[in-house]
Amino acid sequence: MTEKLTICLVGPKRGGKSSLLASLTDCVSQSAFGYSPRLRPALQPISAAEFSEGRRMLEILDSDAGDYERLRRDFAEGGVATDTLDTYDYFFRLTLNGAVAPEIAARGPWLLQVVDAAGEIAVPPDGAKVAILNDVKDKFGGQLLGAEAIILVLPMVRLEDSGWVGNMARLIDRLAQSRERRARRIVVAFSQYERLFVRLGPSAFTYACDPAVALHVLRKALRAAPWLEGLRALETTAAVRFTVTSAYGFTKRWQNPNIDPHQPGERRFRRAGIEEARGFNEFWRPFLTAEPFLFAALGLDSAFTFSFQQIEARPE
Amino acid sequence: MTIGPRDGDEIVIERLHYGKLAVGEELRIPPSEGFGVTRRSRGLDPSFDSDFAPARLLGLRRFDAGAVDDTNPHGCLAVRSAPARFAPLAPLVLMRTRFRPEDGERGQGRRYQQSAIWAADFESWRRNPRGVLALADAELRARPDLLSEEASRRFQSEALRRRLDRAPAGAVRPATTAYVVDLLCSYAYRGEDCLVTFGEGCDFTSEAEFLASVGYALSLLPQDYPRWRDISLLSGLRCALPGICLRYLPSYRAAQRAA
Repeated sequence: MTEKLTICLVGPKRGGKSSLLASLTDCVSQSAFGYSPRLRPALQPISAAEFSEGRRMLEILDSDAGDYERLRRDFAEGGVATDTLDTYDYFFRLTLNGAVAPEIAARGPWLLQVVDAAGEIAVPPDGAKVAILNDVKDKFGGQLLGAEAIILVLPMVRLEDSGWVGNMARLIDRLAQSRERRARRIVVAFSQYERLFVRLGPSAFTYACDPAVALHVLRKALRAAPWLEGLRALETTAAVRFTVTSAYGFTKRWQNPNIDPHQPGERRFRRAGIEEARGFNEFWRPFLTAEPFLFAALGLDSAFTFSFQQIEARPE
Repeated sequence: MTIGPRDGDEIVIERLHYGKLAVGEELRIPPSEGFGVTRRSRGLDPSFDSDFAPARLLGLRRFDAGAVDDTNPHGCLAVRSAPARFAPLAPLVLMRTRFRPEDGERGQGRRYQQSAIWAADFESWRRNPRGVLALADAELRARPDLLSEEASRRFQSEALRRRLDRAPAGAVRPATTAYVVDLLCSYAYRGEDCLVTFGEGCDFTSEAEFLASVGYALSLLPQDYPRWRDISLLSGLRCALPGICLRYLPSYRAAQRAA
């Protein structure tokens, strides 16, 4: 059996939606997630035709996966802001090759359509008049309502000081009130998790790997979230989870956050003299960027996905 | 839209800018600014905005950095007749677009798409293609608008009015110009698509020379040349347009030599 589903990425601009997506396949291939290693997931970018026809096309030697490869290249070069002229679809085949409950295994493989759109479309800055083309707004609105899963990507900032929290709350309220919404799973992913650990040097990864630390971070971050009640309303028909993610991750071997302070802008560490993505590969290991997608597709919890109940439980 | 034929050598150009608003000398994008139409001259109807999107003008499913082969800091260039929806006015559309860093011209950070689009009447193009291309070379820039400029001014600005030069300065490559004239004549009644790519260092030394030479070649065509509306020019763009497409690709010769 093959299960097809659509996942929509939503969040403010510069929130890390495209980076989360660009680092997804690397996170899975490096097993840099909080799922059991025995799950052994595999994720391959596929073409739109393969997604729509639902049958496997053997392109063993063709590694150019089109739009997704372009997205990964752009991410390696510092990223390109997603424009507001359209919404953009990426397709993947997810398979589980390890130990998994038979009722889950029977649903696979999973064909995923991930919809990425500029933050300005769904969550514009509060008070801003952003001229978005109406047909693009309508298209993304339809995709949001029709998606089986929604991933809300939020940067790890003080929510009360962010310029978009009001529009985010309104979007969640509208989603909660919509009867046409099909979403069965909703993941709130806080991106840029590595930034919290920049002063911890080589101990950074040790702390980041502790689910209790992630839970504490989420509790603190959500304290100022005015949209929690809206999300709670969504929970009546959908499974809601919270998680943290890091597209830059922590460096291999050295374990510090992968942000090179000697580079202009925000860049990952790279081997000097080696061009393009290969220069990054020696150090780059994204962290937990697979979590939102795997939960959205499978409904399986990892050590780093937390429910409302866990978030609201009294800390021990 | 009020674009229509004008008398003499004057050209009236309606403008539309898509991108982000910038601040300072380096034209840095403040974190508060998002994508949008940042300038639209009074003669353009907002309902046409989506038709001026770079992907639609270039006939692409999506326009991304992979479509750009650009060494020109002003952006890559496309010149074409407007798609059918604009009929019967069907103006000429000129577009410069580029991916520039959000942290300023010399920045290293995340890039975003900045586009500047001109729509002008087709007769001016037919009468004086050389002058139109010289004007685009001199003035069309994919440069962000300033946040400090009031929105009311940016969205109610007058169309540009310029007098086209009959014999603009600019080096012309006679051999390549003759080749382009030959090509255009041979395709005049064939009705087939044709893509010709010129590279840097061999065919032309720069985009300016490409525009000057092709402009000169086009100025030699009779005004009743049957495929005027099929002619398009691209510079720094890897895609192709249907019809007779003349493309300047800086990396083209280097790639051929390497092969």
